[in-house]
Amino acid sequence: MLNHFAGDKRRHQETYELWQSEDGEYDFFPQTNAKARQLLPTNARLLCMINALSWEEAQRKKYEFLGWET
Amino acid sequence: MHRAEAGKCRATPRRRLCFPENGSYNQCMFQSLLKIRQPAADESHALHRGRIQAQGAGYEDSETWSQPNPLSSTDGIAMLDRLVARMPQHVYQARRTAVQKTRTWILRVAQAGGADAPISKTFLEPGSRDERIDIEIIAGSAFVP
Repeated sequence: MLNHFAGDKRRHQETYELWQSEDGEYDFFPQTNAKARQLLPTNARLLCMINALSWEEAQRKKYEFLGWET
Repeated sequence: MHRAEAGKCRATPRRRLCFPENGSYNQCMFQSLLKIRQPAADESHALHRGRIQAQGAGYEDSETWSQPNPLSSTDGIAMLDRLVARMPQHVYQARRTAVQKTRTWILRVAQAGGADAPISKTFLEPGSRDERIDIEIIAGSAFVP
């Protein structure tokens, strides 16, 4: 109960996957998101894996990787 | 302190008394238990959040959702339609295929029962460097049937 009350402020690094399809689609989700994996197009290929402490950080790194404006 | 003076405890700022890192957990055990059972206002609402964005080539516009229930595919399509309706003609023409693919994907996700956060899906317009439609499910689920 002490932990619940105090809140666990520690953040754990997670691995995110960036997939690209032949027709210009990108899928990006944590490795643990099984439902997102089920939605991948059949022609998708894994483009890169990104380690990040949060979804926001992962998105920022993805934008940097793709050279897009944030 | 407050075990004997309940009235005084209520008048004392909770933040200072209730957090164990302040060394006063034992003093405020009763208040703490009460507080645990009362989620903050922003926790009881907006469990499902996300956005649909049109981006690239200097253009940026978005539709967002933040609500207690998962976004339905019907509402998702409506949001996409609103986003498209605000696009100047040349902006829409530069994302026409991406918009159609986004619409198809939302319907496909609905057939699969919805998508769970976090996930980001990007539809890049063919032949374009960065003109695109992005969907980001930040929290909860979206595009449920």
